[in-house]
Amino acid sequence: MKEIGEYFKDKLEGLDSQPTDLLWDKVRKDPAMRRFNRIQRFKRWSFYVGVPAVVVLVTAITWYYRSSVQVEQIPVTEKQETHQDLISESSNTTPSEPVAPVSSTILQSQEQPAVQKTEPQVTSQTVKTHQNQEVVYSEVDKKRGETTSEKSDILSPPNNNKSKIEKREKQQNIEPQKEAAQVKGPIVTQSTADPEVTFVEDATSLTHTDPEVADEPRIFIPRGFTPNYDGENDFFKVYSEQEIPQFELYIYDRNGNMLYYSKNWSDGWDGTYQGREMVMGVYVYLLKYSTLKGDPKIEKGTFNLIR
Amino acid sequence: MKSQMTEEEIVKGCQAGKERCQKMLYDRFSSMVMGISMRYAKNRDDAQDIFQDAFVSVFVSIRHFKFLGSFEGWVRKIAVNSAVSWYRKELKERTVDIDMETDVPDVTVDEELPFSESDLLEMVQDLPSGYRMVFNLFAIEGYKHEEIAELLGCSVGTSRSQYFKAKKSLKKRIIEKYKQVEI
Repeated sequence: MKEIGEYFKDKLEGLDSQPTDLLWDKVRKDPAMRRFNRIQRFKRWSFYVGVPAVVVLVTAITWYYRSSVQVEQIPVTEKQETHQDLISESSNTTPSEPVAPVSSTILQSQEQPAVQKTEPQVTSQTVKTHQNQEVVYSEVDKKRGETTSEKSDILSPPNNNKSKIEKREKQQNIEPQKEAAQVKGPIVTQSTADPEVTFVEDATSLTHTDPEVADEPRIFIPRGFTPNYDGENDFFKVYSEQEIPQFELYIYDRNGNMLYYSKNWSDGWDGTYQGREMVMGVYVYLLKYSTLKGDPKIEKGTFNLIR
Repeated sequence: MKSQMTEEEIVKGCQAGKERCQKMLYDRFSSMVMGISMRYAKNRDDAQDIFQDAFVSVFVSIRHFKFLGSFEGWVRKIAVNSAVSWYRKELKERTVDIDMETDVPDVTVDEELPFSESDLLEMVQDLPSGYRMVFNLFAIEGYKHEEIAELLGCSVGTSRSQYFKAKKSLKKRIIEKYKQVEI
């Protein structure tokens, strides 16, 4: 004998019964089912369409932004300052007249020379975009305005603080060594006949060129660059105040892969290879050019990509 | 198209609302769900209502299934719940006798009785709705009387007494049926 509940359980627990075929249609057409499927289909669709759309949009914006930043780098120079200004401003940092950023100015922002010490610390690490730069600098200008009232009549719009300093040095290129000594910093200014091109460098990253040799183009090869689109040192390029004859620039990574090649002396490497941003590190360049007399010259060396 | 998808793939397809996967899932579980529905309903029409409700709520709630435990058990539970809510809808139109019983005596039958599944199913379907619900939930699904009372919205005593009455009623039917078979 068996308890009746268990008896039924044994017999009926695994009961299978074939539903009629019509039932699937009923289930399928149930309003709740249809709504659910519609919502899920919409979600799938938005995923498949939305994700590529966002990717394309971001790429387009990035591309557009990069090209617009490069356009903004047009060099503008015009300034009149005295040696006195430099000396006084290195201590009280007074703005003089508006100066636009100069693209050909090289500054190793990693190792700030002494002339920058009295300035609020504004480096390319903290300033990512040109827009931000202006904001930061306008704050800097405000501070300066507080400290120096005697020059408040001089217009001081937001501008590139660093480049101003460098331009002041440009004016002083008659006695660059003396000036470097005055500011007690490891600064070397490579002066040229054309005051529009000036290089301020840390002493540890000296140029490879000898300015005394007259028959060669005066070139400057930086020891590092920061491709962060802030308008400063975004390209690794050879700087020169005049065209370099028979110019060829090769850039390799440490494994010897060629990343960049150009025959145009005014072009520079933006730190990318096949669209990808290369990592921070040491890269190798090989520069071929010829002297003004036509003798072939080769320069080799390394430089740092700093991000 | 893959001919043999695993259960997990099918479930994921259903979670994404793919009708192809829903059809596969339906084919796999429809007879089981129909079996459950038949037990809880008094006839095949009602069973189809329960069946439809059960499958719709399987497909709509499947996005909450987290692959913890067996999927079959989950479907089974949904089917039982659909039956219970169907019963509660029915209940509104009826009154239920409330009586208190603390103990359910055993009712035994000979396990060698020559009844087929369909005979027994017919007996269960012939029970009054309240008896049938409690009997199914307690005897076959293995719920406790406390759980049944909560599901059906009655007292624990009612659940017990209904179960006892269901058993007595089934025993009577078995004997009647047995006599018919013997004759």
